[in-house]
Amino acid sequence: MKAISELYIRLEESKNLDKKCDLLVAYFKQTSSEDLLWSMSLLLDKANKRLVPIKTLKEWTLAFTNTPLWLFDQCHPLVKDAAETLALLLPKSVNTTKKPLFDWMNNIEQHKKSSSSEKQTFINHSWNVLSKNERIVFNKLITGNLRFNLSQKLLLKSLSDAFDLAIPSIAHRLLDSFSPLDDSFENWLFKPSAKDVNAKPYPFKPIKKLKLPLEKLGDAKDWIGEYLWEGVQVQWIKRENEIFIWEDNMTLISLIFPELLDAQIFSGANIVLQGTIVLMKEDRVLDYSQIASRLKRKSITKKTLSDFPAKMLINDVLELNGISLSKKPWSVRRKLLNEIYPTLDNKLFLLADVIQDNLWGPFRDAHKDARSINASSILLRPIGSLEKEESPSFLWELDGFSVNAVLLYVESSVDRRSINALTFALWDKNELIPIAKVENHLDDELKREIQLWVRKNTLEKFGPIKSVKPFYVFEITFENIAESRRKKSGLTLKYPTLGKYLKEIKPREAHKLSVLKEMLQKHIK
Amino acid sequence: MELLSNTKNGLYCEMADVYIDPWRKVQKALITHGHSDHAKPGHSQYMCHKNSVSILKHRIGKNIKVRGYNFGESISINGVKFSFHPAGHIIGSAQVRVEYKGEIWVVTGDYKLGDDEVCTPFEPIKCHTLITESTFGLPIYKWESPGNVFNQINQWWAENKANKQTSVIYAYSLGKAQRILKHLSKDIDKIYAHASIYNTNKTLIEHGIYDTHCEELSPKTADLNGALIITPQSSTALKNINQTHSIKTAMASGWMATRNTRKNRLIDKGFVLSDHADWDDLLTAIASSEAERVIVTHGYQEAFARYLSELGLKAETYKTAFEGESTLK
Ligand SMILES: [Zn+2]
Ligand SMILES: [Zn+2]
Repeated sequence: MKAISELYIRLEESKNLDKKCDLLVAYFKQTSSEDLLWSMSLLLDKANKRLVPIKTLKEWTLAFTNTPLWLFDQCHPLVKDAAETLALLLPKSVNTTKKPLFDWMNNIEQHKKSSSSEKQTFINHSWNVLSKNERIVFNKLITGNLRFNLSQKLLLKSLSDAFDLAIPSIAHRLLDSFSPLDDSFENWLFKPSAKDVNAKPYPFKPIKKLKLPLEKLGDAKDWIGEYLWEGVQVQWIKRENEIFIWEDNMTLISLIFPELLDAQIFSGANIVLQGTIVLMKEDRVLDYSQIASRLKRKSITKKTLSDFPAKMLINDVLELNGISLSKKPWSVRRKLLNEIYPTLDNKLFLLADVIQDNLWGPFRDAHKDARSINASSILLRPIGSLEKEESPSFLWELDGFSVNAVLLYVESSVDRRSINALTFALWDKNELIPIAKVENHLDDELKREIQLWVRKNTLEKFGPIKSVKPFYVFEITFENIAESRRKKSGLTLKYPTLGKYLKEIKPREAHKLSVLKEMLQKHIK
Repeated sequence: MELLSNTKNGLYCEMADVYIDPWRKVQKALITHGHSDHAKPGHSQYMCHKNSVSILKHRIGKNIKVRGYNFGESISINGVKFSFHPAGHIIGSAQVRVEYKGEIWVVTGDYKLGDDEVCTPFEPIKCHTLITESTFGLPIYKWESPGNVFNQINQWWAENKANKQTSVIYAYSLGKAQRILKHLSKDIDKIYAHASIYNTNKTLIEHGIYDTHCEELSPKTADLNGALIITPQSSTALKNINQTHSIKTAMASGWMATRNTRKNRLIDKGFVLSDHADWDDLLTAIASSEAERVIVTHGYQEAFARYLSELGLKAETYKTAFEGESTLK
């Protein structure tokens, strides 16, 4: 219990992913294999060890410590977390036990069926031998409130670093259910399974951005164009009647899209499709923010499924009937796609129309229309291109621009309950110069996070507008840029909108104002 | 008339016409210790423990009129006997004992139990009425042994050093800073203190009441990899360091006892280390004073006084200047 509790507290304290990964790797290496499978079920938030509701635990703690209820009520708002408040009310811990995690988990499991007074005795005894941090984790565990909230990607990376295993062949183990009571860690992680092979995706090839004029690509007739939408780039794999969905960052995201997991979707044998999963409403592809919030969910409700159904827009077929198509040119693969498509469920799968012509003109028209149908770019592929060979495909992005900017001002709504608008800025030497004010299109979770943060990080107030410390970096997209003498930045952005929250980018690493000035120069020419 | 009363200027002994830790300018002020919420500028005459004299001069002004006394030394003013007794909070910190015709009051000022090896440890003083602080007067505040905390601090530094990072600890320049410096591992070869801490240390060392030397952090200090810096949080010196070095920040304070406060400060690590008594020690101190009546001030006084009343003690509260002067008569 000691090691997992320290891990819980330290993971919570570390702000960057590398550090979290180091902590996990160190933990995996130090922990006995008897404890490791239990640890995995805790780290994956899969262990349900609820013995009592928090309300009961509160009653028992107050009785155990002789604390009046009103005193608990004084403390709780300061600590915020009820399980932690109860842990802190306990007498200072003196003797702590080295009892291993699996023993604790077995004890807890055994007590699930105990009478209430047996549970209470067990819990009181446990408190007596646990340290401060262990009591916090223990209280959360037995009330069903322990959450590590770690991403699959982080856990996979840590496991693969610690035990020297390849991510694609172990990912499925994290998704499947397992029982630490009847299984061993060695079995779970190392025992070869058919899925190790079946789940394996093909490498995701990065697509180059088109930076040349179209004509430089040669003859239009040698190219095929296709719209791409903002969504999740995936490989949809069906092998031996099981479906695996991989995101292009090597995360196995099958469970996020249950609507795409029915083996009946495709009646044929083994197949690997590549494409984009998008959320749709009445035939319109929804903004990326919608699917981003689905990716964060642990479980997908029926309501989400019916309100914002997911569909996959197929771009490519990489394997058919167990045979890799990497040696076949794109024209052949596209023909195969056309043949397979009618056998797929057309409510769930869409095959993008292609843009093909002897001249570049129609490509340009399609490019111009892209925004009106919410497409994000056009994928250009040479007809002869092989999946694995050089002749590259290109991503032809829309004529929009984007910069990574720092949040500078936050404007509250009149009732102060919400955020109206956000002003973003870029660096000019050590100063932040405002460049755009955008409407608040934040999802609720992020909005709440920012509101809380603003409360503690306001530098100055001007009516409803607060200036804040440089911290949040967002992508700001806009359609055009022009000179403006009236503005401090010397330029104005047309139709700026709030793009993605760039969590990984530090405020210092946001763009400089000079980046916009260069865009302006190029554009005027 | 009570021996001591709470007035708009602060705690007052009318019989002797002196104040204890007054927050407005007065003639005669008895000062428990040098922290700015207790030792205000502008009084005509200061009286304190002798180790607080140099601190008061350093923080308030060279030319203030101040007189220092030994612990236990009796000061008689208009028939009222005053004396200072160790409070164990910071160097020079004292409780004030007030006696008149056999009636004894004790004002604790800020205090902690246990020996921090920097200042004289707290001594319980028997009295009829105890005026106690209650900064951490809630049962969620229970300190672990300081030895453990110093081990954690030293370990944290070693980890940062291994990663070629600079460790920065935020601490009050008077009290916490000296205590941490004193207990840092001998393995830490590069220790720097922000000017405000360095200058405080210099004064204390010159007066023979502190003995741990360290270097001053200056803009010229070039190699900070693996170093440890101790600084008040308001310091701007860090801005420059942050640009050239990878730093890890920590705060050492009793408030670090909850995950929530650790999360809300922009720091990497929180160490639970306080110069105030925790819940258990407040109760111990009150019990050992054998006071019949307890007046709670400076912190969670309402909750703490209510708890004491429920234990059967005669308990009430005083508000300090910071919490609502308007409620005072
Ligand atoms: Zn103090
Ligand atoms: Zn104080």
